[in-house]
Amino acid sequence: MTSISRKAILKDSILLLAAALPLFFFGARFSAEYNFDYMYFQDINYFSSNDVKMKLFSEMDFASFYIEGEGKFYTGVPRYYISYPPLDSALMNNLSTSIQLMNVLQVNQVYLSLYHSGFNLKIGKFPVKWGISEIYSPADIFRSESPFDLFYIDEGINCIQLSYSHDNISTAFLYKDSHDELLTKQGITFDYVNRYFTASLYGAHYYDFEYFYSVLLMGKDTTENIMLGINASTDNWGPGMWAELDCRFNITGYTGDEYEISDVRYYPYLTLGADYTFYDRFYVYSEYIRSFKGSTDIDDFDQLNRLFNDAFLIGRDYLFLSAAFNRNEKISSEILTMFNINDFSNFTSVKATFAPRLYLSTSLSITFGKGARHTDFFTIPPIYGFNLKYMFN
Amino acid sequence: MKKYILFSMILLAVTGIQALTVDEIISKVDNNMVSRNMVYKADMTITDGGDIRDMSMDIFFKDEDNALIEVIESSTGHTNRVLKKDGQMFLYIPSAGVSIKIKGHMIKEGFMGSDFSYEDISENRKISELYDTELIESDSMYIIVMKAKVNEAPYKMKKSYIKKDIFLPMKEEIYSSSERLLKVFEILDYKKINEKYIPTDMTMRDMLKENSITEIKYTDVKIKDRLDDKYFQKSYFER
Repeated sequence: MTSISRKAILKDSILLLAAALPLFFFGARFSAEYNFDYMYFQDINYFSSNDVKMKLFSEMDFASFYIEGEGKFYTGVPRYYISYPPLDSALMNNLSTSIQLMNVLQVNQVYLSLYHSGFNLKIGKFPVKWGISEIYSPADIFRSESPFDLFYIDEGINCIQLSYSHDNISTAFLYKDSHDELLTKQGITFDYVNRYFTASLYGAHYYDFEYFYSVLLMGKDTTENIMLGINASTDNWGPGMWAELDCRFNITGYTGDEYEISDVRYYPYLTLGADYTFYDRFYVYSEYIRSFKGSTDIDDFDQLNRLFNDAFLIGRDYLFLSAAFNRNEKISSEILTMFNINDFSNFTSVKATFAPRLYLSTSLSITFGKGARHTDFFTIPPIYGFNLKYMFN
Repeated sequence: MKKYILFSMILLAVTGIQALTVDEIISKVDNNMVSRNMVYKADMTITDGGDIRDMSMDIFFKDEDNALIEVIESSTGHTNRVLKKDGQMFLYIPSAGVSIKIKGHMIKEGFMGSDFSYEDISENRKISELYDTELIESDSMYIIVMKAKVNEAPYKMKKSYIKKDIFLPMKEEIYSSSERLLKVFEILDYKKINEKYIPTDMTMRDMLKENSITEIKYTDVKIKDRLDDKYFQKSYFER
């Protein structure tokens, strides 16, 4: 985070806080959460972190204000070593083999929300989630989290959202702000609800930096993108079921008002999912994702594409599975696995949680990847995690 | 003779009133338990083992398919909202900034970790639409055994103890399909509003857990002619 953006965010936060000050005369609620994490990378490295998150929330019928700040401080050597697969490309010689995790002190969210006659205007920094998947959605162009990211801090985005609802239909326009005009994003959604199903239609326009490479050369280009998608979900027959079809149109060679039709590349995705709870104790979530332009024969350039362009789905067919036993009970366990159906590689996380008190919980986790030389997910040594969480108000 | 006929007619009239059919009893219970355009504040206390949690809520009931529950204060700091819109249920978590559809079997999970499920807290359909009923009568109570006749029924089987003078289910035993006792619901207090007896203090006890009980007290209960549609709109729900 640059010093310029820190100042901008601080200034925006102060302005919003000043605008929301009257709300606090009508009561504000405070809560906080402390997390201690210990990470052990088998035979490589270990470190720990102390994380404090604080939230302040005030609400009236026509307005609400929310602010969340977080401080995360590491002890030990907080270096996350990246187990790259043995790629042949000469470009690999220049890649960093580890990520240095830095202490963080930031405002995750701060927003003011105003409601009147069906219209809701939300302005500030807040999380936005697009797409129907709860694990990873190709349609979610606003959220930068990758399921691989073990150290992701859930930070909102600077944006303005204007939504309107009437009867069964809602529509929302979203504008993601940035100091660089080329990093702004605009999106619009239409949602429909009835007794039998819910459905959404959405579209977005945004620019993106895209890295391209050959055997020896790597460059960067600005591309213009349009994304269109539709999804629907129902639980009319018992289990929850959903489907989503979205497509990203990537326009290259854009110069002002002109571009060649042949330059337009498109990337369609299909998501099919279902979930159910058996005997009130065993919850299963499953999702199939097809990336129509994905590769069934992963090569080095596909891996570089994932590294540099945040293109998580480089393969073609995926199965995401999540299962939780005794969810919401004092002792619970869950497993999450992302599985490439074409090459059988996977990335898996297993966690057991014990919550002796409502405000206190502890968990143990293990995360690992299994793959081979040219597979989607590659083998990474197990990462063991211990977490202690305490919530107070 | 005339006195005898008169006496017989009176006796017939009285016994005719007392000998209600199960459908008539259920209808009177539905009249009390199922309401439209209701607004009330609720205080919920959840006891789970040694832990006690409190929360205050604003509840808006339009009809059987539309309801809004807003947690305005909670001892855990969570102030989530639940919207039932045309029968579909959504959960909004302010810190996440998004609303999640409560789909499939999730509606049977505990609302905010309580012993009342999302379905219990938002259910407003008539018993007659969901269950086949059988009447067993005692001195002070109508005891009705209910068995689910549609898949959407919240529970497979219930046994309801209905107070004869006010037609409220003072106690309900909730069973699984294998007739295992799952939960016990009780009404501790009630209030008469507009010729309806409305429960104002209720408990739900989870019989599968030790010392797990949730109490809800309704305050400031109002029955209105009409509720503003804004309470059941997505933009208001996600404000």
